[in-house]
Amino acid sequence: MHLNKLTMSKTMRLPRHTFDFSKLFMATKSFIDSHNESQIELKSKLNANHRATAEMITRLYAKQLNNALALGDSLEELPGFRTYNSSMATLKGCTVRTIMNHKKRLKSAGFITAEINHGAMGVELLISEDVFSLGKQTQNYDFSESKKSIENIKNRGEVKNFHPLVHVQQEQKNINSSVDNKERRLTTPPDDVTFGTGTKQEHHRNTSGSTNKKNRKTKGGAEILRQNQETSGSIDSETGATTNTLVSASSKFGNPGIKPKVTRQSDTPDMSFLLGLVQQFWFYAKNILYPEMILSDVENEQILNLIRISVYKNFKHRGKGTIKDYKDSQKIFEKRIDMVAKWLDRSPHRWIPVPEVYFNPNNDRNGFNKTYKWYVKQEALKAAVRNDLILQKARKEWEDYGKGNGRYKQKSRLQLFEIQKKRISQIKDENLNREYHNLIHKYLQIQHLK
Amino acid sequence: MIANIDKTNSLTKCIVYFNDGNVHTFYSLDKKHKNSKQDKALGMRRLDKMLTGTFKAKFETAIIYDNELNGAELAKYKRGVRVN
Repeated sequence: MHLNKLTMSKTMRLPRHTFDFSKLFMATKSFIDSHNESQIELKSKLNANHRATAEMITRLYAKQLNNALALGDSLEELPGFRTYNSSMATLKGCTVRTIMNHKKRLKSAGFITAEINHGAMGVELLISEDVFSLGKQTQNYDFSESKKSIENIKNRGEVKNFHPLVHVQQEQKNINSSVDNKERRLTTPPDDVTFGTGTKQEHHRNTSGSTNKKNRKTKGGAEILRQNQETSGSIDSETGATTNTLVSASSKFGNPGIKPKVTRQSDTPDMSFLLGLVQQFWFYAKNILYPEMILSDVENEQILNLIRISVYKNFKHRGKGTIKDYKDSQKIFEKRIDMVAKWLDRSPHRWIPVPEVYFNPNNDRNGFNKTYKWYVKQEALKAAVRNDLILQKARKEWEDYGKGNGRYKQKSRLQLFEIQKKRISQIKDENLNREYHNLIHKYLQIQHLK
Repeated sequence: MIANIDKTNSLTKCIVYFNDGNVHTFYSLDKKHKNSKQDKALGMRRLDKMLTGTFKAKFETAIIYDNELNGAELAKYKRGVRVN
């Protein structure tokens, strides 16, 4: 009995409804034509673009409905067309705003009767009954015939399961494909086999990247370049911050400023490089400041995190500094560690707290960040001493020249001035330059009085 | 008041072998306040403080382990000094 029932069910033909694309397109066309005829004003008519959007909606909606029917839904009441504005825009090759404008026009024309917004789940469009209705556009579908036709498809094992929103257009455009599109479009997958869309795997066609992605990349690169040109020279990573403050500090002592730098994308350090700097810094600091301290991995990790936040400011300006800038700032950090070590060596009563306190970003009392002031002060002092030595040398040369002695006795006064000016301009210190001019004026006045 | 102080919640434990022969296990307190995230390094630091401060010169050996079955050894102290 059971066997008989089974054979009966196998041989029985199940009538099935599907939406016929040709009928639907005809209905869409006639709907839009009749609307355009009824409208007098050109503005209220639907143009070719609107028509294309309407046809796209028709096609995708029919595809969804056919899939639902194939999966065994009864569809007593037609569900809305579920989609996303962005996916429609991608499919059509326009912006989301255009799709929204088109939808507005199609709503006013009555093609879209209502729109339900589902938030992150997309939108649901209800299409006019003149175009989509179960009775008008469906046709009976022979299930057993479809099964036969599936078996005829070449390479039916190697298939991609494209999203319906994506694959429809590809199928239509890919005229070189050896897959018989006509046959595939007519068939629907059987209920018991997961068959995908029946699109053949074409690895050789899918090797190139998405054009959109490329465009985005080039745009990003251009933007970065433009930003760099605009913010030329404002290198403001932790390094940058350090350098900037140093520049401002040194400009007090006459530095005319650093030439603007344009950061190239290739020079921008990646995160692994930056974390390597943190580790290098901690290794250096531990060897010098805490040579006998034994720490477990957990404690080391915590200290590295604290250093990253307090010393490197969590790399918040990562995109702006180059690798060279970071390496320069690393040298400055190491110098600061050396300064602390020297300070500790000067007296046995001096101490620094344990590393988790010393490198804590909230430690304003006796933290490592305070050493930055020391460093600036030291650098300023160095610059002042250097300037004094240079000016002293210049004064001596003028005095020797006045007595007819020295290295430049054969030169004219102008030549000596130019030699000295060239030497001083190489240092790029505005203050030094100014003091040198004062020196020359004083010297000339004394000579004039004599 | 730190809620749910319980040895099962601790991330590390410390077994102390005292000079008088006693053996005690101490469990770390890994939070600054009841809603804070557990910080293993903080718990270890507190145990370290206990060993090098309170129990200094009172124990022969102390070992800090991960608070789990067959937990890994994290630190070892001999007579008040960290050796590993």
